[in-house]
Amino acid sequence: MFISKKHLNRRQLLRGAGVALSLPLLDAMLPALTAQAQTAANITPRLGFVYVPHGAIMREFTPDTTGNDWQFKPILKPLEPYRDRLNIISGLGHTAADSSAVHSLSPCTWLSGVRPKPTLGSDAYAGITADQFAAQVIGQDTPLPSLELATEDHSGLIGACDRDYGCIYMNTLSWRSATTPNPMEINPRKVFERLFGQGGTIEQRLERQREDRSILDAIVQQSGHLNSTLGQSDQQKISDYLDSIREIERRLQQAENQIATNADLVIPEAPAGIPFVYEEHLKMMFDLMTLAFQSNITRVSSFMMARETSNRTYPMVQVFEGHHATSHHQNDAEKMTRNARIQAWHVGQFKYFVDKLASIQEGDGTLLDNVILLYGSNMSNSNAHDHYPLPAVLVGGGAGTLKGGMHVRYDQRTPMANLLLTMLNKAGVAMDQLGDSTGLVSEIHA
Amino acid sequence: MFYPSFPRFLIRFPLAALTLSCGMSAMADTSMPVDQAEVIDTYCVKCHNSEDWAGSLDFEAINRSDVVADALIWEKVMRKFRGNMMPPKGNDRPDDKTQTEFVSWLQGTLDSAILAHPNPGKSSLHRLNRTEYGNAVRDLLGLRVDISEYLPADDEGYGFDNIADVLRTSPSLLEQYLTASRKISELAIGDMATLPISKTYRPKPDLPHNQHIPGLPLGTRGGVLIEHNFPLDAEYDINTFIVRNTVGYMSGLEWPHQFEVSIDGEQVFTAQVGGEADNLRSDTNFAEAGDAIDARLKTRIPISAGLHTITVTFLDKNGAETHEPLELFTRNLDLQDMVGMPMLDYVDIVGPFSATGHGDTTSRREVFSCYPTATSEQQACAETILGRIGKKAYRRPLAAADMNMIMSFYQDGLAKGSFDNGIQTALRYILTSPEFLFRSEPDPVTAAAGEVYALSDLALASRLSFFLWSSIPDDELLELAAANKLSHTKTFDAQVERMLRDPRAVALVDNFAAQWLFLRNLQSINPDTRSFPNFDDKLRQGFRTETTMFLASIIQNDASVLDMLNADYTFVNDRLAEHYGIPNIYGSHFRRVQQTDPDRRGLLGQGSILTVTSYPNRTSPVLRGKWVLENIIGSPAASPPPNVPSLTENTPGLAAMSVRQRLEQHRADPVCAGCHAVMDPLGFSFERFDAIGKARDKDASGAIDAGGELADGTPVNGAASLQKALMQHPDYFVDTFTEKLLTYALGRGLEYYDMPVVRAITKSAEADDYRFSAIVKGIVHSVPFRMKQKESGQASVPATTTIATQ
Repeated sequence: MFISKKHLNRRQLLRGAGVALSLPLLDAMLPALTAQAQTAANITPRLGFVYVPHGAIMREFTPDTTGNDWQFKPILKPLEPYRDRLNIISGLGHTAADSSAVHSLSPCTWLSGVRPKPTLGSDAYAGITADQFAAQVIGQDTPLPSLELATEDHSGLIGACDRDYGCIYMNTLSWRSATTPNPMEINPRKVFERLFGQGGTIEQRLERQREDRSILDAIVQQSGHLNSTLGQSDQQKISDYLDSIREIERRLQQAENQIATNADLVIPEAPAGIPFVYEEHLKMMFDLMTLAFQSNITRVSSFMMARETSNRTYPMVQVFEGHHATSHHQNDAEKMTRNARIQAWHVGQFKYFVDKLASIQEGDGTLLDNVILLYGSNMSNSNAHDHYPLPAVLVGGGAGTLKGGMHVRYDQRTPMANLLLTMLNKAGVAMDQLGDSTGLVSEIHA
Repeated sequence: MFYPSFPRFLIRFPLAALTLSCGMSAMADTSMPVDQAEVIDTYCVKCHNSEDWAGSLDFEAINRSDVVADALIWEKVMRKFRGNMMPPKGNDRPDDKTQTEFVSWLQGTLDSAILAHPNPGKSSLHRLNRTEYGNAVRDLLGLRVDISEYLPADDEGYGFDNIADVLRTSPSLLEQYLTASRKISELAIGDMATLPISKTYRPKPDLPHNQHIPGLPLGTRGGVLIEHNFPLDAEYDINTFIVRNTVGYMSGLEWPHQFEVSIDGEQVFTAQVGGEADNLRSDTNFAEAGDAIDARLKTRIPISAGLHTITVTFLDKNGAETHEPLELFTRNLDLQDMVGMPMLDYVDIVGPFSATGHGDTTSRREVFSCYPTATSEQQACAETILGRIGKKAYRRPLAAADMNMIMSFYQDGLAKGSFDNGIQTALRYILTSPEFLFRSEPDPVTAAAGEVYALSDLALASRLSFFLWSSIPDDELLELAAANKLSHTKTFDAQVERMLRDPRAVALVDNFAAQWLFLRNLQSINPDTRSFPNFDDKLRQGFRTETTMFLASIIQNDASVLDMLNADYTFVNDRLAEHYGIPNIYGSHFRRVQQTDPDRRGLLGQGSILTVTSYPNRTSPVLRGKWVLENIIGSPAASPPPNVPSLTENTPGLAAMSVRQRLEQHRADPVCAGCHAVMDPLGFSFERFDAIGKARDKDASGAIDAGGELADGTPVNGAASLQKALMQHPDYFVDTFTEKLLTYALGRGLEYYDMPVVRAITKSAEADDYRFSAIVKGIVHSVPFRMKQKESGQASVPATTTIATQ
């Protein structure tokens, strides 16, 4: 549906399975690297990290038995059709997230396994995250090394950050360097423009890129002048800024190559903005991730489906109080059921993404065969705010590196970083250590 | 923000954190007199010793011969002690006299020692945040845009999103600045190559559709008011969609409804929705009927370039003309329902199509202060325009190199087409230039490393304008600074007064107060529809307007900031008056009224505050108490310790208890009591207001008990008595207010050496009845606002790569 040329009535899109990206307005100017450009032999796996806040009711999440013979529990039940394409990894934990800053540290340690420096912000210092290690290796020959998405920013959640670790640690899953968090984009329109630009003819797009580059050149010159007047700690800031400029120059170069060689791909209509309906918002983001993976605009993506301390209500599953408030369930059976309903609903939305990936042909199989998706939370019991055992599911075939249908349970408090390291290795990122990792999750080797 | 908790790493290495104060205490006597040491020994050492190490603090090990050496710790001690948070309830406590004497000795010693050695603190390169960027675009180009469409929200630190060290750059952010500069310069000039785009406007789902919406034409019901920037004189599609329920059914088609679109108050399109034909069609196939109606509501209209107000709505009908004269609640949120009147779902504006020209917009008038009539005049006119805008954007006179660079982009654009293209390309460069995006305050070459010097007039002009207006200096301020006349005290004070009177000073409400008081959270607050079926967007907007107008009036009238605690006036319209039970208020406009209910006085009785400190379905005395401690009293509680055992595990029957009973259980645990004994009673005082700030005398568990005892033993019962108790120590509140405002003004977190500055500002404002301007003046004359220290030695880059995980 996403890149089909068939015109679809907008209403159908909004109410149906929910893709709100339909057609024309902007035509024929997508950097057209379609999946067909890749042959089965040289497919690089794509990595996706999909995060939900406030943990899971683990007894409704984790199957009772391990190995190949196990039954789905209600929260993961929506993924049942993909049993042979997923693995459940139980018993992992993140000690890096243990602190009184129960919500702030969950996002920033999920993909790093490194506890950041306690600060309210001015000298934030955190571990580089797994998606960024991947971006440095498999993201360098794509226009975007990585994509970071979310559905809520913090503008409506003032005062909801923790005392010793500021909001800067809660706002994103992705840290490019120890001092540079990657902001997460919540507006599908802006994501679209990052992927496909503002549109226009090929000549117009190339002209815009030329102008961007001349502006960047001038900025570099100007920054040199500014730099000479600044103290050393400010020079550090300017140097971060210049790094960013160099990175954008690299992207422009990549995008230019693509425009020049592919002129025939149809791209969808740009989304108008942030949809009001949450489900629609999630689907748009999943659509954009799918399209980015499919066209190799990026191979690495992280997505925060909801934010820590979010008080969104879930009337579609009869939860009328805020998510965060409900997550403090005090072991009350009814409240725990409510949490499980929210969590199963989230998984159901994630399944839409898996469906999309499975519907797209690539090489001899589908895009799903060539992705490695981690779905989970960096909290276990939201009432206790603990970070062990974490809910974690790995979905996709990893370009032939992953088997499926397994439930692996670690009895010891094994670092979650082991799973992240395993993902990286399977995506072709050779690393021996990530955060506090102590080894690999070898049971899921294909 | 200055938090009285004791981070372990600081206590273990006090010297590293406090090198600045070492050596400067030699002048005055900063040793602890015997009677004060006795206070510590009697009341504190019992827990804070090397064995128990409560709160990671050991008073036996602290250097008593020089309290300034450990000023960071003593500041926190003073807060805890003054706020009666220590010693904890139930322990031996000093009498009032002992307590007051101890605090005043400690405060006096720290203040005189630290103020004797001015330390302006760290000031760093400051990226413009999203709000400042948007305001600068407005002031530079006469263009009002919704900047959140272009740039992401900024990270927040110390409670504010304008903290220099938190405002980082990243490739994706810079990419967005690049895109924003292109779109904004295109819009400002009216680029004929502008591509059509669509933008969706959707009324909040809880906006009532059967009542008049403020701002819409009289005699209409429901709908949406849109302010849209039209880039060119061109045709635009305005496409409206009507709500359908979950099976696709559009309700209310039995009766005809008149739909209308107006531009700047003039009706430009009407259509009928419903009536016999639609109804028949809907009976046969309701999906098709709905599609036909949506198609009927699409229209293409020629519209001139610039900002226009579009209203899309239905004419109101006599109740007798529908079969739904009464609807129980303001908006039907049940999407399976099949009754009610047609209501607007969303409006798409798409364009431009068939553009005829760039039009005459406010931004073109602002930009083109001259316009060449011949090619030979182009260069000179471009220099005039770009020299003026460049200077304003860079907030300083331009050097020849600046001008050359800007003009080279003008030449690039000119080569592409026209004079307009040249100006547009140069504007785009200016809006992306680091000189615009970063506020820098270069050290004078003559200053020695480590030297503390007074900021230049130009740096001062920017500090003032970003503090008071969240924007760039205007021409008057910039001219004075460029002529080095700004720092002259009389001129300086006159400028501050002028700026506070200027409408742009509303930025202090929208940016400072809205963050300090958590008002920004209102937009995302969605009270549970079952508990509060009558909460709607009108009330939400009403709350926001009330508090905004209340705070703006304090600034405009230069009232005492204590009005925030005890003002006997507020601002309401009919909706809000009904909510508060104020009689005889008609009409949707807001007006100042006398507040006769003592519980409602000041900010603490306003619906906005009471709602942002509640859960969607119930009040939270803990959240309200925490809010008062942090934002009013300035003694925030420490974070709960990790791995707090959950109540239920050892408390049978918890589910049946009321909130009050539950919290009492909570406080029975000494680990929790430390803070909750202070926090909870504050919160209980507001229990006679529900989770959307409506007065009540009972809740689900029975009659309300709004009684409690403050940390110092003062009994309180209800909001009025709490407010009275808070007014006993006006300086606590003013200190807190000043601390927050200084944090915001400087764009950095405050340090221990800033606290004497805060107290000095409060003290001097006291003589002026704590007027708003007295505090602002205290800040803009303070050492950290006026001075800067030249960096010495190496830049401090963290040495370790990670903080090890235990």
